[in-house]
Amino acid sequence: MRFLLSFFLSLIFSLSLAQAQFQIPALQGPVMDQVGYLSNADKQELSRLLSDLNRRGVAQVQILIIPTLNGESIEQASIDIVEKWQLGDAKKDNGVLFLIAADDRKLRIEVGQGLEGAIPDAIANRIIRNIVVPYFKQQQFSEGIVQGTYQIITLADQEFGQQQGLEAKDSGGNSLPMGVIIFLIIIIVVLGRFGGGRGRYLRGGGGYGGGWGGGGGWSSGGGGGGWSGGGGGFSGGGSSGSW
Amino acid sequence: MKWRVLVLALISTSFLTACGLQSIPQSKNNTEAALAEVNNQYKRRADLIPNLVNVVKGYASHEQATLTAVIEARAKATSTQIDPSKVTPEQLAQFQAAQGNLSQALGRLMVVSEQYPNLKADQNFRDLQAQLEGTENRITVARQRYIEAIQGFNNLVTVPPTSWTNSILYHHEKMPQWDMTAEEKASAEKAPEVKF
Repeated sequence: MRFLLSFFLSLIFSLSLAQAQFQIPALQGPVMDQVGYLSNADKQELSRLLSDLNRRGVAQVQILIIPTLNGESIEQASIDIVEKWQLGDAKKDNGVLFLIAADDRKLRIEVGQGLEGAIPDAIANRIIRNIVVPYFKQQQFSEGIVQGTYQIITLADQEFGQQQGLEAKDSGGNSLPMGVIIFLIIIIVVLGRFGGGRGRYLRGGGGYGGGWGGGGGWSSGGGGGGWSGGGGGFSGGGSSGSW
Repeated sequence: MKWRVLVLALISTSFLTACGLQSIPQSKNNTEAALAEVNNQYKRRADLIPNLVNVVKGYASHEQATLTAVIEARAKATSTQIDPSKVTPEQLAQFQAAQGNLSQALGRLMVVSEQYPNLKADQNFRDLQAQLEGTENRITVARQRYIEAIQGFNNLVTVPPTSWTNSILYHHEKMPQWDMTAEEKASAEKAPEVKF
């Protein structure tokens, strides 16, 4: 009897201890929005882009929007999450975590070791400060996340897309000026909204006709197409910001 | 007969893997690699500083005292090196003290630079600030991993049954744990806050 009591007491105690810390959720798909910042259309579009990017072996970019950090610093929470999830390929270390903490009004782009050349800290910082935060300040969360993610995708694509000989011809040999890239992205987004199947990012979405509309493909443990980390390494690169 | 050999082999391999014959040297190597990474990130920070000082100098030339303090602390920190394969507690303490001084000097520089709106608006300075911030974060991560690596190693050499193997074969000492110095603790509480 006493044993049972002490067992329950210790159980309750350990539970309350665990609650005080930030809880890392289970990895459930490329876009995890626990707050509701993303519109349904944006969420589906981003899921499609990010799974495509991962399938092509360019990068595993993960979006995670959490309500609160529970008092932890965003840098610590972020490195804990990527150490658990191991985003990216073990050889390429090409994972990225785009973490947004709603109540803390903080965000961070955590860059895997293999992408630190493509997305150096200063560039991650510019994405946050010049692109995402201005949208967030106007409460346009969905748009800010979409634009920020497009930047990350574009930079990652330049790094690993070329290495694999997969880089689309239309983006030219030389790097385009930022303005042109942003303009192209906007056009792609607009086309993607209105043009149905035509506006897939860079490479046309040959095989992904209507099948993605349901958006159910990433629920845990789906056969063959599960979204999980591949053992990618992180060393704390990236940048944080707040709005 | 064959069967008995197989069982014996199975038992002996399971004993070998559990006794620390492999895991102790592996763990030792891990700690060395982790310390090398800490070194590497500190070096990265030292490499950033000349650029940072130059940019700040352009806008805040009469903050000479703060700038000189940073340059001197950097010189001291880069001259205090440690060899990951044979590190002594004294060396580690010296290294930490030198890097801690540099952290403090850099912190003061960042506080001072807050008072210059033109400097804060400079894109070059902002980029360097982001790089410095990222490097500080990498240092934190590298140190955490070093601490974990030491903990793993110390467990192997002090907790049976692997500690028996160590006392028979390897004779490794418990490694000194990375500890923050008193000054470092004080400065960590008010770490250079970088605002945008």
